[in-house]
Amino acid sequence: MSANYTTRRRAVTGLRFGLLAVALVVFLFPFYWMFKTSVEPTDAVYGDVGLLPGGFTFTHYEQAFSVGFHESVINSLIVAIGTTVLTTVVALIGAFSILRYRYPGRGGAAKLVLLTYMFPHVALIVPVFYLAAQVGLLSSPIMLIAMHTMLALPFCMWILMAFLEDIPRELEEAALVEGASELGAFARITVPLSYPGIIAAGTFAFIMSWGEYMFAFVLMRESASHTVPVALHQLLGAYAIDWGLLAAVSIIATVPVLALFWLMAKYLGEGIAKGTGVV
Amino acid sequence: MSFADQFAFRDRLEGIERKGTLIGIALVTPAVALVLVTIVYPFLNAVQISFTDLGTGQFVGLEHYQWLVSHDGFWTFTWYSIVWTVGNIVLQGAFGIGIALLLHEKFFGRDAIRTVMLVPFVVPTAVTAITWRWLFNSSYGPLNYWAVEFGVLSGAVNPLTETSYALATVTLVNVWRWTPLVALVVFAVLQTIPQEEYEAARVEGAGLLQEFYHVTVPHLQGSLTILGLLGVLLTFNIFDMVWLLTEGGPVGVTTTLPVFIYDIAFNLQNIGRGTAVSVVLFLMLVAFVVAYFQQEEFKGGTFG
Amino acid sequence: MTKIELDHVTKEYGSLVAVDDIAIEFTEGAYTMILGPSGCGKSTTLRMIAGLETPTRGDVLIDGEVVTDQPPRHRNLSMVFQSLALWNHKSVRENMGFGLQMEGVDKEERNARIEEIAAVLQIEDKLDQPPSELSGGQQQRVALGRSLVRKPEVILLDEPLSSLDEKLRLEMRTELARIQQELGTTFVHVTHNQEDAMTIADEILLLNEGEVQQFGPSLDLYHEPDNEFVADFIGSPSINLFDANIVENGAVRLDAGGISLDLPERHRDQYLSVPRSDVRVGVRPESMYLGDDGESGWPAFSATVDVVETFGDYNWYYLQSDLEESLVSQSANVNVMNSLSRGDEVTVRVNPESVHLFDPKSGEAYF
Repeated sequence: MSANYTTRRRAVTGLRFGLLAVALVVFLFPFYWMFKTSVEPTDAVYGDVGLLPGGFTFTHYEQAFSVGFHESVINSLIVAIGTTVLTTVVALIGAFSILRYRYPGRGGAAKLVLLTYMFPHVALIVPVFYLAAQVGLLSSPIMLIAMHTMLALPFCMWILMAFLEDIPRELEEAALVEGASELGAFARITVPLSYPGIIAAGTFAFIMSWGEYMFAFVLMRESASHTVPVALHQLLGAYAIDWGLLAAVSIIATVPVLALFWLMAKYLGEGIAKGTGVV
Repeated sequence: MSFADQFAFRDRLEGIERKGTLIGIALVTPAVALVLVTIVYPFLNAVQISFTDLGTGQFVGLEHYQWLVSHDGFWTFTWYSIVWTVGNIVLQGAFGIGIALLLHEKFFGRDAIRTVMLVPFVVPTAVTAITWRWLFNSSYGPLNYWAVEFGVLSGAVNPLTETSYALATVTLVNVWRWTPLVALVVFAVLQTIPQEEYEAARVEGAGLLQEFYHVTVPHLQGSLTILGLLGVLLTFNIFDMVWLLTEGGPVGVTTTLPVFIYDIAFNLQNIGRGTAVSVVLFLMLVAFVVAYFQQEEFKGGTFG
Repeated sequence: MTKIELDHVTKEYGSLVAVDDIAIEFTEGAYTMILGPSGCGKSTTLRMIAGLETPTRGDVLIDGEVVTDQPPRHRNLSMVFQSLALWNHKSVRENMGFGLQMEGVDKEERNARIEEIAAVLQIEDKLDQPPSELSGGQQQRVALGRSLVRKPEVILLDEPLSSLDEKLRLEMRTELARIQQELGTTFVHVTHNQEDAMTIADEILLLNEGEVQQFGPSLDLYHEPDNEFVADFIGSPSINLFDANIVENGAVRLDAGGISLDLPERHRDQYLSVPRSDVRVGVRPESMYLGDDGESGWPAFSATVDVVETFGDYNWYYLQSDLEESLVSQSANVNVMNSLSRGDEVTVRVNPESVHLFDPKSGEAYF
């Protein structure tokens, strides 16, 4: 039986690597294809299908610049950075408050914020559009930043609570007895110690905001205010779709988040594991 | 506690504890305020609008809702939404758990694979949609080319524009996007299973399937019921992927309720009816959550 | 020097009373230990002095001033935590200088004072490392240094020795006592270890279930325990306790299951004033002697040796007798008794001057 058993386990290992390889190809091939298209000359884009690029050119990237795609990149950067900063600050102080202090309404506040990710956000597009129109914030990054912060807040707060829970209260108390105020201890001790959580939350917020389409589509009506996903969709709606250009702008839209993800993968992974470890 | 003691207690709240209370409330206020401004107020506003004719500003009672229930499209789109949601959850669950199990045993490069696999989740949905539209392109896309080349298809077909395949295709692309995250979360849960339990099962003579059934499954069950609930809520409300791939077409076969809401409110410019659909969608999900928690396994559960 | 006072302080968590109406004045400039078993409220008491907890009722006074509602930073005290609570994102120097920085002391003076204290604690070559790179004993010194550098009026210590191994613990214990004596700062030190308390404290506050059992100079708790709990908690090995009756039979004697102990005649009136005849009797193991040589006036009984534990310079003998099922005894003069082993019959003599009598119901000491 033992030989049979060992063979079977070996076969399973072989199967494991085979299936993982297939999964990796399935998950990555589409992006390779997009990259390939983005650097091919136009005639190759519409020519025979081959695994390798049929030539190499930056034409599509130059074209992306000439159709003003970089403006949407700037808009997206403003929104995503604004969202990242706001989400991180609000989530951090909120998580700290809920974990460290006792006050009436604390449990309610925690539930209100943490359970919003169960709320059907699509039910908000009409009233939020209406609200933005009323207060004159259509096509303004402010309203979009607020919506994106709302979207990222529950998970970021969840992550930060998981990280803050691991910081012993005594570290803050030591600062209190050494003469720090409550907020002083928070700023000088808690914040520096929770930086992996802050990075994870910030990375998540940035990636979420950069790719968010629904609210950006509904709120950013003027073309000068379009963020990257909206601008992408706009190009897709053109009469004659230029796939070389679309591939190039897709790559441009992907590189910032991919780079960020690559740099912060360690923290984000830890954050996701911590944030969901409780599930 | 005497009367005087109660006064002492009142005084106490003037001191450290009151200060802590104030700081605590101050620090949580931005988060709460944000939720109030971006969710609670707009949604309450939506409820009000759904009873109003925005053109005249008059209260019209249940008019929008009456239109809704008598509108055949609404029921069809609800059905599409259910198909879309169930398809997504079942496939994401199956593939996600499968991949998580493949990663469960330690091997060289596992962490790298885990990281790389998340790429589809990180990339903006708009890019994903464009990419798949290009891959499915019937004239120049590689998938059609190869399918015809290898004799799988007799002629090129763009499944996103075929009424019989569109909903399935949109579902599959969304499954492709979310599966890595499901896999990662399930993987995190699997990591919490003590290795000893597997070893014990092996010592008792369990094979791989028995190990899976007797050790892995019981550990996953609790997490999966919660993940399943969250997955249903998130998936039911997805607008971007569907819209970016098909805009609800062809001839409405991929119009799920979120797309329907956008369509009525923004393309047909009927805000009242759009909000009515939103409110109904919200109520459907509330009903679903309530029903879900009514299940026996949630009685006395820790969630919520 | 600073006087700390607890004015009828009570701390409740919901229905749980952690600290029950403590009214104490700590002696200025003394080394005070707050001692008790786990869950007795000793840490809560310390944290209320620090300002990390607010009493439910009552007040904390520092130098006669009510500070109950003041945050820790307005109390001019420092604290060494059980976990040490060192900040690993800061260097040792930054850890130690934190309090001075909060006070607004400029960098130059800060460094001078850090280095002065670091020299005393022998960690001057570790100042620019993070605490996590230091050994347990060095980390302990950093934590202490962080408190000392600011020269606070009061230093609170919450089980600072519990994380150290035995040898280091004894070393640090001695050093704490030495530093306290040199500086004259008021030390309030929480511990569950009665030996630490007895060896270095000037005075001990013994708590149990949130209530004061006894407060006073350490030796008072040893020699004149206020109740059975104190007698039992203080001293190692623990005091022998058993039931007995007071009978007057010419002399006053304790009668316990066939064994009688005649009590000293000069305390006769006090014994006879005990309101009931059944009592609990406590005799410290070190007040009992084996063998029948020596002063013959002492009451004696015979017993069988059950277990012998040897420590080198002294032994512990676990005895079986009619008096009680088991009894702990100790011999200081090992030379005589070294040859005893299990099963040996032995005569046990009791120093009647060190017999304690307690009320069997309340545990209060009669004598």
